[in-house]
Amino acid sequence: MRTLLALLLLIPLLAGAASPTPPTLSYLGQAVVYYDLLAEAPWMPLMWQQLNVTVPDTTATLRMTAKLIVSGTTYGCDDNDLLSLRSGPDVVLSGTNYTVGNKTGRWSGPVSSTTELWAEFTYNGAAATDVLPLLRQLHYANLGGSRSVGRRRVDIQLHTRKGGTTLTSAVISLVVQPGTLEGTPFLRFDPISMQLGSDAPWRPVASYDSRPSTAPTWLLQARPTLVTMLGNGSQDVGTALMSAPVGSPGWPMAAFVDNALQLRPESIGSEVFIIRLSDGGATIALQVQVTVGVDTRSVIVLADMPLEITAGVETSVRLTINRAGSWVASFEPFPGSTTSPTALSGTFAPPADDGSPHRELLLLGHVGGPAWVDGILVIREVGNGNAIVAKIPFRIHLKGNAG
Amino acid sequence: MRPTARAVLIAFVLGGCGSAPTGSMSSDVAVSDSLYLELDLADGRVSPVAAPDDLALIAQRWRSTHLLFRRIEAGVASGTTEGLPLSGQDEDSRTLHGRLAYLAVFELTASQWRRLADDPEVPESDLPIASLAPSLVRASVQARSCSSFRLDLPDGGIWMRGCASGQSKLFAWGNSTEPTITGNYANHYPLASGLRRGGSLLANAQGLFDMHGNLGEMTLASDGGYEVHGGAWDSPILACRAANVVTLPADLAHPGVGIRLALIP
Repeated sequence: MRTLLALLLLIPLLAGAASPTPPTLSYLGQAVVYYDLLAEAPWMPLMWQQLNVTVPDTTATLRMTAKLIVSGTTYGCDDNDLLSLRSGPDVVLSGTNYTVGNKTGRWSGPVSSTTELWAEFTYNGAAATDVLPLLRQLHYANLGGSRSVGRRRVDIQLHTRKGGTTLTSAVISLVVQPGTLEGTPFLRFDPISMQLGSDAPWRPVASYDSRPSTAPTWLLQARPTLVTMLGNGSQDVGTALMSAPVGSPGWPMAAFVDNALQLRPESIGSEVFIIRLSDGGATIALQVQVTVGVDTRSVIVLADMPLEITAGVETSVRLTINRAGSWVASFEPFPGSTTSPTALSGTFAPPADDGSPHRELLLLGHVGGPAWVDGILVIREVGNGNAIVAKIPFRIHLKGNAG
Repeated sequence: MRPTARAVLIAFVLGGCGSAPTGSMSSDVAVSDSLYLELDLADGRVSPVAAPDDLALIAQRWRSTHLLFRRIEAGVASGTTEGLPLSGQDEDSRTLHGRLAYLAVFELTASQWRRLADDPEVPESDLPIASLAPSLVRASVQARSCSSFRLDLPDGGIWMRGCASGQSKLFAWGNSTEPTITGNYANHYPLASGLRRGGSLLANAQGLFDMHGNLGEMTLASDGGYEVHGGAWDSPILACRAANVVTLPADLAHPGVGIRLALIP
């Protein structure tokens, strides 16, 4: 009896463990998207920002569907309403075949009215990172020209199929509000992932303007703190990007090319900064996520800064840097501090000839300076754009100096 | 009463620490081999307490008038060199032995130090206290006599046992240096913006908070001197690794070094 009871208790547990998990799809962008019926560029992207996908079972066949919905007098559509995938970042269309990265698939081709658009990866093994670029290339167009039309609704869903079992995500519904005024232009910035010590060019991944005669411009609403924005000549242009007065044209799209904007990571972390985009009319806010990490695969610096050294006495600190190269040290103030740690200097001793990753840093606290000195020891790689490879904070007591 | 419960009660010993630097013994209290003990800084009484849940852990008393300790079993503790350059050739990976001890769940706060050292000039604050010379700290805590326990700084073995429970990992949570992981447990550079109240982040597997980051913690070295473990809020994560030891001069009141006390049977 006791065994039977135990088995009965186990059944729901086993059933729960075996049940496969469906894909998920969520969209946190604008619930209603304005569509310009007089658009010179009729194909408008639907979901560039704030789209999240999970595909727990990457051994299943993955399919996405999109369809215009007619619902009473609330949402309508006709043969002028079109849905289509479009070639774009990471997505190459060729007839009814497509490629995302190294994954291939087939799709329905453009559809009109309530016909379902579908796209399916040809081989099992597609992941969220494969379907995400595809979803971002879903476009809507209305070829009926200027007239009075009601709201449109597009339902989008993901499906996985394996062994005769089909699992579906929740449906996300986008509402398209057609009109005859010029719409807000879009810029697409994908999340940025960077490594400390590596500058990277920064430009929009794609842009859309329904009437391109008016060039979209943009302003930074809040300056990111993890990165410095560099223009030509490596000057920090972040402040300039924020300082254009209201109503001024701000920075045109061409600025990204003309100024060869670069991001320089300064601190490890993740943050979202906001860009305001305008073409002289409506303004839209875009969120850009930037994440700065350390490339621990290529450089690890181990250094234990001493808590106390004697002023005027050179003290050797051993650092271990697991990459060949030449290094230079500088001492900089803590973020937010204006007090430079000038009472401390340090030079790297010549490296040993044995290829050892150990480096001797010779620290010298200046006699007559303060009793305490703090800041960040910044290690740069010589000859690689002087890229920062490590930042090591320190707070050292300079024994012998008066407090 | 069930035999096992009776046995536990019989196993109680009498314990307590003197409340003032006079070394007087407090009234006897029953102290079991409980998982958690509490030291009342007013009268020096050591009492067993039930394992606190998340809600209980935010209690102000354990940051002001009482100290909460967690039992750390004896055993070996060793650093790891996994993932470090040259397999951590420079790392102090010696195997340490930690004896049975009760290690404070939180870093010592300014309010607790004010009572412990009987120093009314220290302002009340539930932030961990720093900038104390280890020689001063040790003299103050040793002035508290205990019948069944010695209140003291932990040695490296006890600290390492409390940190990683004998597991050979870089950190209490494993070897990850990803900020999305480390930030859950450790207040460290560059995620930190300053010193935090103890217990603001997640505890390690033994229920101890801030073993990595926030403040480096002074320990007794085998040569009679002092060392610092765990790194501070302004330390990069690799400087907060469990096996990292920095020598601490006996009279150096360093702003990045704090205190985690131990009750040693």
